[in-house]
Amino acid sequence: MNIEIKEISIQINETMILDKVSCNVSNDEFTCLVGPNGSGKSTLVKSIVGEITDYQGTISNIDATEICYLPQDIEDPPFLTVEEICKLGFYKNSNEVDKDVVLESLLDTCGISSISKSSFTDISTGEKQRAWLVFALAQGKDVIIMDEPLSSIDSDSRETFYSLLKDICDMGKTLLVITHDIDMARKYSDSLIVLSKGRVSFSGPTTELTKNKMNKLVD
Amino acid sequence: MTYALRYSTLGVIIFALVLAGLFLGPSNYGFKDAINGIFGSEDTVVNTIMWNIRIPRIAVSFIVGGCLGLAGALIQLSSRSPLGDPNLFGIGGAAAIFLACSAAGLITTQEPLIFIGAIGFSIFVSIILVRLISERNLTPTRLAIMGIALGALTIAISTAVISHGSIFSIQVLGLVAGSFAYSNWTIFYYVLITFVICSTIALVLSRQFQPIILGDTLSKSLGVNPNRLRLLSMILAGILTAASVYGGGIIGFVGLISPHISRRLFGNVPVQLFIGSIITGGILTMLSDQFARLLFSPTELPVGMATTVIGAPLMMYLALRIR
Repeated sequence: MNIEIKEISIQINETMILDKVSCNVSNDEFTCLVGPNGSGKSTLVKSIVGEITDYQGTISNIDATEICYLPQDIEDPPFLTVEEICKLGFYKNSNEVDKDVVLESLLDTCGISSISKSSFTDISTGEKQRAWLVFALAQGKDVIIMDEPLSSIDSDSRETFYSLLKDICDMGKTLLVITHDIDMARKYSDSLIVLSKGRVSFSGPTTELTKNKMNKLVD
Repeated sequence: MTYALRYSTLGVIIFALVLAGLFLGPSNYGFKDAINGIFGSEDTVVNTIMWNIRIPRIAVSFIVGGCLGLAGALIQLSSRSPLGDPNLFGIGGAAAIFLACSAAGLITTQEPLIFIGAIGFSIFVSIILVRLISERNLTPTRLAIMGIALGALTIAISTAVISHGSIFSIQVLGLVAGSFAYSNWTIFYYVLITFVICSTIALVLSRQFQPIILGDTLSKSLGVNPNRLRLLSMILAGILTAASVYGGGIIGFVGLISPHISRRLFGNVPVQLFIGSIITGGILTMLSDQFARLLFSPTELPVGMATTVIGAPLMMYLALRIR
């Protein structure tokens, strides 16, 4: 499912948040959406997932029920263990017959099998992010969209997390990830969308964007 | 320990508490007399004490505890606050205001309108809380603070009404401090019917309540409308709490502790959580009532005191653990 975004404009109180933004999120690819604070990244994503509907332009091929969206700064659910939260991902997923087996393999893929019985509030930020990823994968949807998954994590965990995202994409998922981390985005993503001041300054395969050009765009 | 073993252990505790409620008390009888009083058909003093005082008291205390346990579980689920408690958050206090007004003669109605009025007042506070969660998007901690403020306010108003009416009998003290000394079969049937209806709805819908704990954005992404379910669960909690206040006055902390104990014993799946909270709530309340009744017998303590002695330290412990 390609997501085609055509000339999306959003204006809030005379300020253009997005100004005729056009870009593509291609099927089965790992796309990173980068840009400085206030460039409209989160607004664009919220329009794609249907949280914002008041926009001009078109977003095609959208079936909101086929998208799993993990917003920024998800508040920790109280009481639950890692496993219990991940399991809730299956809530509407009636396709999986053997949920326990699938859950076990997902926990294993994301490297959190060993802490699956821990209380969610007791684990580290990086581990929480992995748990949310399992939660997202358990939903069995084709597209996963994450807003700033790793804003407060050290660079080692970052590296392993991005390579995990890459692996997940190779499993046949379409990933769109908002990030500040340009190095990681360049290293692991297939495609890049660069936003600045509500406009697209680059959209295309990551390989087409050299480091110098990228730094210039993001600054 | 398997679940079966855990349930049986709780069953044994219930049985022991029932025995204590039947056979211990200010008027002590031999075991044989007591048994005759329970099962015999003659109209003796023991028979009257058993069937009109002790047995209804045991039954009311258990069912009131069950109401509070389930109400606590529902509130904690929908507010996402580990400090959720129907009486701490003012839901029970609202029912107490109505019952105090009725006892003080400020409202003149008959049963069952008194019971229904108490439920109405509780639902009103439930709806205030739901609106705070849904529209103001309060964090669980801020909601807890608001709830505790509401709770203090409702208790103050009920106490004021009681003082105003100069009806400072021990019976009215029981309204704000908790007491089962005046339990009878009528009270039991009112509370039981309410409990059966509400717990059936909660158990039937339990699976749907599950995603609310994830917060609004993620429950919506799972295709669940959190607002509607939260409203329903808080209204159920309101009805259950009003019934509990009608049955035994304001009994603090049972609604807070029971779901936490139940989570330890039976996990977080709502069906298990609800059933576990009902049973632990019932046990805690029965236990507290036996303490209140027997500790300084023949003088009785308010049962709310006994639950607070257990509940207050636990709440402090929880507050330390919350991040």
